[in-house]
Amino acid sequence: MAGADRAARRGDGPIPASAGIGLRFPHHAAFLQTRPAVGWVEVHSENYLSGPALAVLEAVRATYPVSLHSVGLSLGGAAGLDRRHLARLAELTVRIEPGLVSEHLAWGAVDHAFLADLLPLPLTEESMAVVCRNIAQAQDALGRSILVENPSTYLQFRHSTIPESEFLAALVARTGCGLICDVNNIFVSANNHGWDPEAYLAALPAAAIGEFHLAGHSAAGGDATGLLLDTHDRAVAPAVWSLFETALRLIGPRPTLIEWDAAIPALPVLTAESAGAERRLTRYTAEAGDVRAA
Amino acid sequence: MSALLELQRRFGATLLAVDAAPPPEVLGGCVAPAARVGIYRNNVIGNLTGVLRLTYPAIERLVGADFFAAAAARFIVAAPPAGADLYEYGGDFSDFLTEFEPANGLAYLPDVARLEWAVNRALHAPVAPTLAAEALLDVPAEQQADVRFVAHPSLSLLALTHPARTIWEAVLTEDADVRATRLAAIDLAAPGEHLAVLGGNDAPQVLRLSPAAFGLARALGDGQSLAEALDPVAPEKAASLLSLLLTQGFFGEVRAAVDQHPPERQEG
Repeated sequence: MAGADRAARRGDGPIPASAGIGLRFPHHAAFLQTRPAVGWVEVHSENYLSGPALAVLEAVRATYPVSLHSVGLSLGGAAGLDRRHLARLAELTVRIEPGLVSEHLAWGAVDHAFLADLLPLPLTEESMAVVCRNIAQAQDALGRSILVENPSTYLQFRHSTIPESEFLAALVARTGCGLICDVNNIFVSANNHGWDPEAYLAALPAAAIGEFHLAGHSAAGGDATGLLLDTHDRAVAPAVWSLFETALRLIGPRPTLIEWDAAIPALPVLTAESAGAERRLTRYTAEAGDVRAA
Repeated sequence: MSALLELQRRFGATLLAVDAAPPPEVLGGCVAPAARVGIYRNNVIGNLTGVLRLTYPAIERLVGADFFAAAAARFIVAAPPAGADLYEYGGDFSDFLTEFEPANGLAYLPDVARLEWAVNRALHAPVAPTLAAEALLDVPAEQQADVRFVAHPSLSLLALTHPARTIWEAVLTEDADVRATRLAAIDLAAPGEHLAVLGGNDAPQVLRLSPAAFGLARALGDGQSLAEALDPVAPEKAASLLSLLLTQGFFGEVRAAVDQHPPERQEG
């Protein structure tokens, strides 16, 4: 099939500046049956590398714009990227033709052990060089620029010298990557480290932000009382919605994702959350005096 | 070595050790460094335990959630994943259970785990066509002895010593009363079985094989030529055994010429 025909048949490549949802396994059947009115979907790339899940993603991609969001590339890994994993992500990218490809400012693998979490980096010049090198390698292999997401973190390193928002801005300047602004992550990290979330937002390079993320968080207990955890197991908190409205004012409308990864509710609960994001995007755009395409 | 790599090694080791002191570079504040690192440790162990729980639901039911979580935590610390595709993680859990002292009284456990790993493999194997039973007809008669088959990517062959399939089916029965009845009826001393596990369109199939069918499937899956693989088979059974394996979709490809690189052994 010619490339142009293929593009025309599909749900168009670019991710619109509307609300989307993170598609997870428990919703595959309901999503394909009900085809909910969401602007686009995002999946965790690592869960769709082969098998029947990949076939489901291709079926979804036939009518929805899709964003591929990786959680296992370990962009902060000092020993470099896992070449086999990067090659598999590149293969998936060719197959799905996603509107966006993204990863996190984090590391997760060392000495061939993959630790299955987004681990924190000391924010130093050395880390900057490592992350820039890894982003460049990923962008070369994928043949496109990627978005890098600000993480939720639960600790800081004594020897960090660069504020996180400045670190992200420097990545943009040095590698040409874009950013995901995860509003919930800013809220969680700001609480955990005593940052000012609005100042953080204001320090991000607005033009480089290609996507917002929203999700629920919860309070830690026991000896970690006082910290917030990025649990993705509930609705977006009111304070995060209001920080999202600030982000819209400072940055402007962008594709906005609702993520829900644990205690996953019925699909309509998720689409109701995305409708909440859509309302705010529409309201912002109307207030800004723009006309949005239907 | 770079300072970052050295820190990541220490940090990784801290996450995989219970009660290890946090790296001194971690700041405290209103919450102590150990509690902050503990959140990441809980995430790592919790995320990977979740992966194992999805792959080994029968094992979890057989030993209970707490025992399973304790065994999983020990396994994860000893053998974390090698890569980010977590469908590939946990194939060694059966070997771990063999050595895991608290499970010594449950000799059948590793065999049930082998079966569950094969089911997991079949569920997540690449979607690939199976070789049609008629495929051999396309090969000229004089070349048939030399053909080699490539096992379907979803295929696992299991030679088990315990009645693992019976246990697996019984313990995954949803109705608790029926489950209890079925489990009570199992003769744990019953002999093991030769099984094949294959990806179906919706759910993996578990097939019981005769020793002859198992031997032929394994020989062909290992890349032996048809003539070599059929050598130990009684001539009057050869055609029907081969036809059975083909009809059930054991193979993905047939190759007429001698393959320089025989496919990897597919046994789980």
